[in-house]
Amino acid sequence: MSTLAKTLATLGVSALLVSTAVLAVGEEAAADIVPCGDCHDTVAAAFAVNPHARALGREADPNAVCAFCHSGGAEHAEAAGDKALIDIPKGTAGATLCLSCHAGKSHNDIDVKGVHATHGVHCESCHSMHPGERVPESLLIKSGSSLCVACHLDVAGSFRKPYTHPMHESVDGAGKAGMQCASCHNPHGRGGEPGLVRSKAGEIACLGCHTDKRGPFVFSHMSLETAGCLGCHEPHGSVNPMMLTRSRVAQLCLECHSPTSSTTVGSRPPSLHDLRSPRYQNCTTCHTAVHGSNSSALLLR
Amino acid sequence: MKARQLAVLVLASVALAAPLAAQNLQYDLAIGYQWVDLDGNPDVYRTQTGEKDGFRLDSLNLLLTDTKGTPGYDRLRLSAAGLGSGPDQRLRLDVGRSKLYSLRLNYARHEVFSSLPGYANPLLGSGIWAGQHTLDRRRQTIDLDVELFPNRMLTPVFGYSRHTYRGPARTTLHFGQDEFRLASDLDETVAEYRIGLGFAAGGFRGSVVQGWRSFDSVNSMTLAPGAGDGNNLRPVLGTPVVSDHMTLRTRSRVDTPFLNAYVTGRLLDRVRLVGSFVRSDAESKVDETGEMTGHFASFALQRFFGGATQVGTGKAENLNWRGEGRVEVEIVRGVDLVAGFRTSHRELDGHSLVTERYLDTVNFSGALPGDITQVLRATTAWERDEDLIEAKLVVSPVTWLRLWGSAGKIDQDITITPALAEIVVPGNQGGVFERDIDRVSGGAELNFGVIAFGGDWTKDDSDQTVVRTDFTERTRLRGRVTVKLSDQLRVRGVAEKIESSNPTQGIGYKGEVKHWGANLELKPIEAVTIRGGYDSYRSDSRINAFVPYPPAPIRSRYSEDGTNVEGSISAMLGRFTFGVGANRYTNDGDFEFDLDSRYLRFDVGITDQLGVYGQIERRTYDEKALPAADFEADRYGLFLRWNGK
Repeated sequence: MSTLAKTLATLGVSALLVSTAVLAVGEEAAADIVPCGDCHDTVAAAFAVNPHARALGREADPNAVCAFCHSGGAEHAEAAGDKALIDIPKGTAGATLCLSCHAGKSHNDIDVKGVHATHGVHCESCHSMHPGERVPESLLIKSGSSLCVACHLDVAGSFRKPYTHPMHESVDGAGKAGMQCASCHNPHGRGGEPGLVRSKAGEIACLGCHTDKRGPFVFSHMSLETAGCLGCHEPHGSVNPMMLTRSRVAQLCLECHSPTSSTTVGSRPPSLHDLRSPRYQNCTTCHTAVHGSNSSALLLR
Repeated sequence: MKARQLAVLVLASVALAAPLAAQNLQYDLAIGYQWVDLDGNPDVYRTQTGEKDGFRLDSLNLLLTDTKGTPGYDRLRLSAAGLGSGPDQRLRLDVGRSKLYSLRLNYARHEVFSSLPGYANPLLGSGIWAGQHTLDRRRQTIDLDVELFPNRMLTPVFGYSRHTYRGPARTTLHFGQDEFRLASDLDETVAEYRIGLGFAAGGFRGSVVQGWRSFDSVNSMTLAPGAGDGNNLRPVLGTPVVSDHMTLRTRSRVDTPFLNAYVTGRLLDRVRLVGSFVRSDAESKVDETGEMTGHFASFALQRFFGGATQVGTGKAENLNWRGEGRVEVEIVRGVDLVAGFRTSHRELDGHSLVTERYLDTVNFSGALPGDITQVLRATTAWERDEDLIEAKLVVSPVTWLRLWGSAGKIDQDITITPALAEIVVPGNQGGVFERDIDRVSGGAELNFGVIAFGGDWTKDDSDQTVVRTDFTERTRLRGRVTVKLSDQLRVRGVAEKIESSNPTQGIGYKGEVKHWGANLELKPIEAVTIRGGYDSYRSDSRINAFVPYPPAPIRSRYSEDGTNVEGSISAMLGRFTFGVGANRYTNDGDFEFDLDSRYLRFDVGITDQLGVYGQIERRTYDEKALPAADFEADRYGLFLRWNGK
């Protein structure tokens, strides 16, 4: 049996075993949620498997879970379900409530006054606290990247280009593997560069996967230190191979390596570089170590 | 992922599930087969999409929850996608028990494939379409994070990550006045261990994590079959340059201890503080060896030679640290002030020693046979400090209006000390740079429910540049609108314009990006959704440059004029769901091409829990300058899905 067949068979059998073992009693847990569930029976039944159902621990009265986010429940019930009397936290107030548990998870923390909040995007814009019977990962209202591009239309267009990070399917919502926007961006953080995901060692998101570019190299390509990866590459998608910002390699290199003034870094290629020859139109044919080298200051190997 | 590893993982999950006899279960599983029928260049297709024939676990989601008190864990989520033939595969396990522990395991595997005839191929003009720089590697990552006693006062955290990057590639080596194609085999492993402590006390939370990372990479390269004549088929000084043997081996080891700390908390209910610090100190050791035989020339040595041996060692130390602080103050209700600073330091010291022994040398006049040894010592250093200070004021006088403005300043100090060895043309390889960037921005957001507008403006000014393509002035203007007339109709649009410039004498950089897009979603009836979208991306960049030979100043110009048009319709008729869609990306700029994609997807529910879905996708690529890159690929997939709870 091939490796793939074994993998799929194992997964299938495992899922079957697990489901058989626990399916019969799944409804029992849901039935205990009262009295909110007397009226909100569908919500209450579904909420049994919601991560928030565990918020106060297994020992707590299930109603305490509802009350944790919704105040005014008693008045609401006494007034025969008057919606005006039950608190449904939204916006900044809702975010503040969510953050009473969810704050402090990373150095680029959930930011109630961050760039999304500034634009009126709060917790409930992306997360559904009552998602129904199926509980999606992170309670997202849509799968990761397709949720982001619903607003970030300009970025969605980048993933229609021929050379992109492996996201074109996750942007459509059709594919479930590959990268997601959140692979590089912290949706809860700040905008721009400070909102990028960083490794625990503090490196930018690109180096989380492209570990061979981390170095340190004895001879760094200085543009990496000054302009970063975006000095030469389009991060979302590019019309050019290798997601470069220029279609011709020599053009990309020469725009920096043309010291027509003395105030910038970028050395001049010597005159042996006859740009009429294809050999010299493709700089990386010789300068293969463009990201950094340990033995050649000219980044030749 | 190997079947055995996966089986162990899943069976372990099942074993853990056994005591959970009183739990809730949700699951869905989709497996199937896909195949690709392709006309044209298969390498370009695979470079762009990664897709190939084979069985695939399209998705697996398994969620077990317990709110009643079974020992072990009270939640377990296992999800996977793409396993099998998928170019991108992932598996996640999230298991834990409230207030006791939380364990997250992520596994990802990516195929890194690139083989393009038009990329850096000097032989393209001769009709040789095989790319000289190709990759066919696999990247695998495993991340494990364990948190004990989550949401308690003290929370020990442990983590382990392992990253491998392996497989063959093709590259080139410039040697002896020619370039030779090499077959490369890379074996790279990164292992990282983390231990730390989270804390929560008195309204403050944070954590301190210490980590250790090791990087070990071996890259073995040999002369590719048939590459002995090199790229340059013409003789050098009347003598052909050829190679019959080349081997190079590079081993790199990097040790990186790091410290990561942050704290966040509230003061007086209206003030929030965030602080962080991260420091890493990487130290690398590199050993290189190489052997080449054949017939070569060297203008630097002014000799022909019959071979060479190279031995090199290199060491580099890279210290980074970054500290950050931010305060958020609600001055009065509806008026918020956010102020912060960031300071970072990054420095590198590196040195290398390379001994090259040239065998059987003959000078250009035919005399002085013998071996020559050349020793190259080089050191390099740079240092970069950056300080950022910024403040932002957000005012929301009424619920439908939000206004904000911010100002900030970035000070960059960069010192570059170049390696003196190997400098052929002096100048512009080092120096001391002090660049200050002032940033001002503002914006407004109006939300009337049915219609919402937003816009913002950012202006950056800098006093000098470090590299030529840096701006001295940049303006960014963005706008967006959302119209939601009902649940049946929604229209969204965005527009952006960025202008950058650097008028410095001799540089004359000017860049402009105009980008706008809009989409529409219409649901005439509940079961039918129609979507349409348009996206226009235009960029134009000009900068003075200098061609080294024949020496001449030029005006380097690059443009993109991309347009994406797309539309789709999906409908649900009882147990039958289908969707059709198409999009076309056309670039009329410097690199002209058309990329079309059309698809048909369907799903047939056999029972409430069982169904079949499939898709047919046609992707057509038409590159104007190089028809050898074109392809038309049909991808078919048929999957069985099973879900329940």
